[in-house]
Amino acid sequence: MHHFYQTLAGTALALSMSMSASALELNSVAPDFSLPNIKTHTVSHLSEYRGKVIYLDFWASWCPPCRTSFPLLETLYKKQQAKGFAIVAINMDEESEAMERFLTLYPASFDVLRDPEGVWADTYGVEAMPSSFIIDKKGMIRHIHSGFSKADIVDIENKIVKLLAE
Amino acid sequence: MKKIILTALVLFLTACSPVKPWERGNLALPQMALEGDAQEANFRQHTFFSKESSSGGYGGHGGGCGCN
Repeated sequence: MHHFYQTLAGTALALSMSMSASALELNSVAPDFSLPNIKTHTVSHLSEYRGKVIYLDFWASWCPPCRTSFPLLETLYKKQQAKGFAIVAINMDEESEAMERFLTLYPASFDVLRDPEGVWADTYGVEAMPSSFIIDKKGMIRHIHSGFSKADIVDIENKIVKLLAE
Repeated sequence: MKKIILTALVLFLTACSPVKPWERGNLALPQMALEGDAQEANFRQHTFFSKESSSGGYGGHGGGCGCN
């Protein structure tokens, strides 16, 4: 009888443990995702942006730092777009209505993709909301940024400008 | 009988999985806040420490937002 409880406890321990994905390493290749684009209504791939500096942002409508980031990113995008800068914002909302309402308040001219299942957020090892990955022209992850505050945009712009010059 | 129930309970533990950072949308809803009304919470805390002449222990401003 005691042996039974031991086995049960061991099984419980084993079953309740699970592996969590770790964030990708810097200077590793950014996984090539395929996700629906909400504006073009086709599938967008990371490889389409090869040759540009990409700010890949995982965001959701319920996340207050995302509200801070969107107007700042929109300004940055408009400023650096012509020099080969792209923003790819992957939305994690379970319901697209929430995303639509957010985008009405904080419009974005950059690409917004949908990943409600969280498949690619898992692959990229997203540990906080929002999380961003700055990817260089060769498709390598150069910077990983968790969270967002207003002051961050200055540092982000400096990094983008440096990578655009490469 | 007890063994069956226990085994079933243990198997149900497989449903316990960590919540991913992007799945915390429901936690960010206003009705899920630890203290619904920040002003009221502040007022209650003030009343409490005035009456009890002790304060603190509730870990800061109105709970998290499900973000970080």
